[in-house]
Amino acid sequence: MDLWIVSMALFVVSSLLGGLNYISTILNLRTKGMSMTRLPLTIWAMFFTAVLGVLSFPVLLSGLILLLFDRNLGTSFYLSDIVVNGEILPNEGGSAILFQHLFWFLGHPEVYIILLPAMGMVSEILSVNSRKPIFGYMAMLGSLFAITILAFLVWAHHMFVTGLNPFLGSIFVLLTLLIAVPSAIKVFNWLTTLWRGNIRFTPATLFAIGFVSLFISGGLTGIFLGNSTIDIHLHDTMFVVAHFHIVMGVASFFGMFAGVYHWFPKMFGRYLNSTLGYIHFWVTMIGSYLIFWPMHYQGLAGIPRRYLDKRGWVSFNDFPELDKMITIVSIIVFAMQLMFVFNFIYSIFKGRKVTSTNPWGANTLEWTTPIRPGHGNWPGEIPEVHRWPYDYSKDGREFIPQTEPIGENESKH
Amino acid sequence: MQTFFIVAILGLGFLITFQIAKASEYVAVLRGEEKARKQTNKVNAFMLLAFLIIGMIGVYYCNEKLKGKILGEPASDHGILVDRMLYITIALTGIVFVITQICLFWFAYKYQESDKRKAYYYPHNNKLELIWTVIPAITLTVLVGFGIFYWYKITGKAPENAMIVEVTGKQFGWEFRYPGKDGVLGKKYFKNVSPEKNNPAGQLWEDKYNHDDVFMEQEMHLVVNKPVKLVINAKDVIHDVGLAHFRMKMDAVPGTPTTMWFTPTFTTKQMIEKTGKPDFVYEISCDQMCGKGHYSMRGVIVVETQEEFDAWLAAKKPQYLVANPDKDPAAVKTDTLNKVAAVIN
Amino acid sequence: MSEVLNVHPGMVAAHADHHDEHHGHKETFVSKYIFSMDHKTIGKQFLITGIIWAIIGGLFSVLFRLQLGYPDQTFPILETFFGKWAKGGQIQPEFYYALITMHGTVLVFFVLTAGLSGTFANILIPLQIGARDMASPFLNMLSYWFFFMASIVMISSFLFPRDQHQEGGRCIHRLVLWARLRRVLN
Repeated sequence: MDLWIVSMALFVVSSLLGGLNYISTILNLRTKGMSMTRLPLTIWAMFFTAVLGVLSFPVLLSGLILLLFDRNLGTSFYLSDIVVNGEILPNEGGSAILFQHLFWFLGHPEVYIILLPAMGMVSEILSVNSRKPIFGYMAMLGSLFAITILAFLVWAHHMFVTGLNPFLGSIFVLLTLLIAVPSAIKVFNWLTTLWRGNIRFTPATLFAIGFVSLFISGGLTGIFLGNSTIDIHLHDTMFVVAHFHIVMGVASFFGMFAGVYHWFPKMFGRYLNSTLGYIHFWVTMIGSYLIFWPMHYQGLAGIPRRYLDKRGWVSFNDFPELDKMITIVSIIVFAMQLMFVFNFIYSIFKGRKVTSTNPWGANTLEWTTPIRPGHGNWPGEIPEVHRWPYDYSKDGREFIPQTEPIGENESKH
Repeated sequence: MQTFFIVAILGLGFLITFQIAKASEYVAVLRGEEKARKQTNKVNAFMLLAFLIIGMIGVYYCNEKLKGKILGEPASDHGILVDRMLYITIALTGIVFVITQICLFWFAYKYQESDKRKAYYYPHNNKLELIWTVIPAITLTVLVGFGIFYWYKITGKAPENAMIVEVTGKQFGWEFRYPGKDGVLGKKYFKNVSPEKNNPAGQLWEDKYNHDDVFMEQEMHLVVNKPVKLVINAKDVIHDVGLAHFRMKMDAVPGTPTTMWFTPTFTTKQMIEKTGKPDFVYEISCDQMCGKGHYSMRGVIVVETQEEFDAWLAAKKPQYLVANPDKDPAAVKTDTLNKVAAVIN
Repeated sequence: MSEVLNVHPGMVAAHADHHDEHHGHKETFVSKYIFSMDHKTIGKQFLITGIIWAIIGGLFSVLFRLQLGYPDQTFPILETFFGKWAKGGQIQPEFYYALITMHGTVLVFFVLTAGLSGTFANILIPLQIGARDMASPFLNMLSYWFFFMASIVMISSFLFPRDQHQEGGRCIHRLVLWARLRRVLN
């Protein structure tokens, strides 16, 4: 356990170093003409992610240090009134709830640390592959910002049933459900980005669409859990498991896969095998819904999480076949991920080579570098930026890279 | 052997899929990438639409199959509120779910790549964005309003006539303490806990409120239609009193007592009739990960009529007398009788 | 942004040597692939470490799903692999809870935080904003190696659960932490 804490502390250091670096890079190293509102949404998402990480990880670290003290130096930050296995511990006056507060102050922003990069990449990928600008760039940006702020103000919704003051609980209900508004804006904007597009279904696009679908499903069940009244019944049941796996686990994985499929050519100069990509997507998509959708029902029946054997219970023993089904599907889905890993490794060395610098016809700067950029990225001067990154299908042209100066007769957006 | 077969089949599947994938890549190169891309595009667009339709049917099928196993009738007054809130939320989110998923997959299908059409340059529309900021905001206000209203009802002050029961979670079981005739729980201090001295709750015997407190493990009895206020403690780590049938839940935190109250509305016998399960009991589940026995930390609640409850409680001996047999009038009496008998003999 | 910031000192000279794939003579294997300060390489390192963790985390989930789906069956193969943790081919409660705990920690922190935002922030930020590299390539490298050390320590905490051999009082801390920490996922 001490090792676990040390490991997490090292991890916090790592993410702080990374986060500070990302923030200062984005603020200081933009090329000429790249104003903040010309940044691709990916970068904005990374920026807010880094801000969240830098502000919330230290709180976890402090919580862990206190825990380390409690465990090894005999302090009582979290311990009070404890009798374990007949042994009476001397600690008095601590509060176990304190750890929950410290933990969840990281824990909730952490969810958005995971989700925001996926959102950013999905925005970019949907826009590139539907050959349309992302709808409502400023609204997307605003909702990212709103999510970042609200992420810090909702942590106690994990603690509705810890004996929290009901008044405080109601405030957190309000703030928690408020987050649904920027999330809804994002979803509607993604839908409108697809609307009247000319969509190319690369594996990355499919994963991005899958992300949106899962984000809707998981986000809506979040409205159940964020409402303290329903949370009384659903707290710590399988419903929670289903909710966060869909919205945070699988959805972010989909964002990650979308990113890998989309930027693999940039990373390794080769393509991933797209047929395997399609198979990977369909099995994972269907599998994830098969695994997690019925889990909501288990949760509604009140089955608590982390029960390894429910046969001793009268109330919770209604779903043995369902559990078997979920297990089988999860093994298949896991095997499919191994297939992806195999595809990944194989394609690094043997994949089809990329022959053009801009295989997806994208506007952003990374596709102006050589196919395999060396250290320093651009062999010559860094290109100058003249426009926002989402000029797709404008004025009859399929795409206009950011580096192209604005023409005289060009229409304004 | 079975495992071997499964592994072998998985491996074979792997190999075949990989070969097909590799072959299809070569075919694509041979036939011209443009053409191959268009074909896969069509296939995937169709698959997305099929996924939507089959998925929606699947959602319906899953619901038909499982709805009988969840959410039986709530067995407490608060449970009714929780369920009502749940149904309101299911209705509202259900509408949003269906609309947005249909839009997503239908757009994906309808606007698949085609030479006949050009994508529509549509970067923003402030009016539209305002509309879909305001509509979710209004919907959520409704949900928050209902939610907070019910939340205050549920977490509000317990009625005056509520009976009090102390629940203590420990690894891995439940302990209960009834306040006895005086209706007040006596003081306790965790350093007094001593099962050897018959004082598992750590009661302070100096406090005379303790003298009629009844202590027991694993089984709790409640009176139907009478509000009950649970005072919840934990001995070692955080536990959670989960009452799925009453739709109630509250953490048990060491060092910080918590409370919750509700009114059971059906006796255990009535619930056996309602659910049709002859072995039905109200169960207390620990819902907060508490160690290796977490999954088996089960308590039982019996809800019964006032008469049955009174008879049951009267048969229990206060813990004070168990711990201090010399103070027990009945024991003292029989003791003296025995002595007398011994003398006579 | 001013021109000065765009060009990293020393890098102008460096990149002239290797436009394409032919750059071996100045950089050794170690400086190119292991202790690299190139944001793209660091991103790939994050990605590959993340994928390894994802396989481990996924495997954990398959193991505990087996127990959850088939509580009444035994899988002798588990005993061969995990010995006393899966006595008689059934996953023991301690092992089960260790598995779900690690499944959560690994996937949330090591895969979806480091593997996702670490990878793509590293690869995409300089490329998409038009920078030669991160503001501080050295700290960036350090960030990866701290993550790597965290991984090593995490694996050893799983392989050598010291607390299991300790009695009473110590054990409590572990359980208190479990009870609290594992709410990470809800």
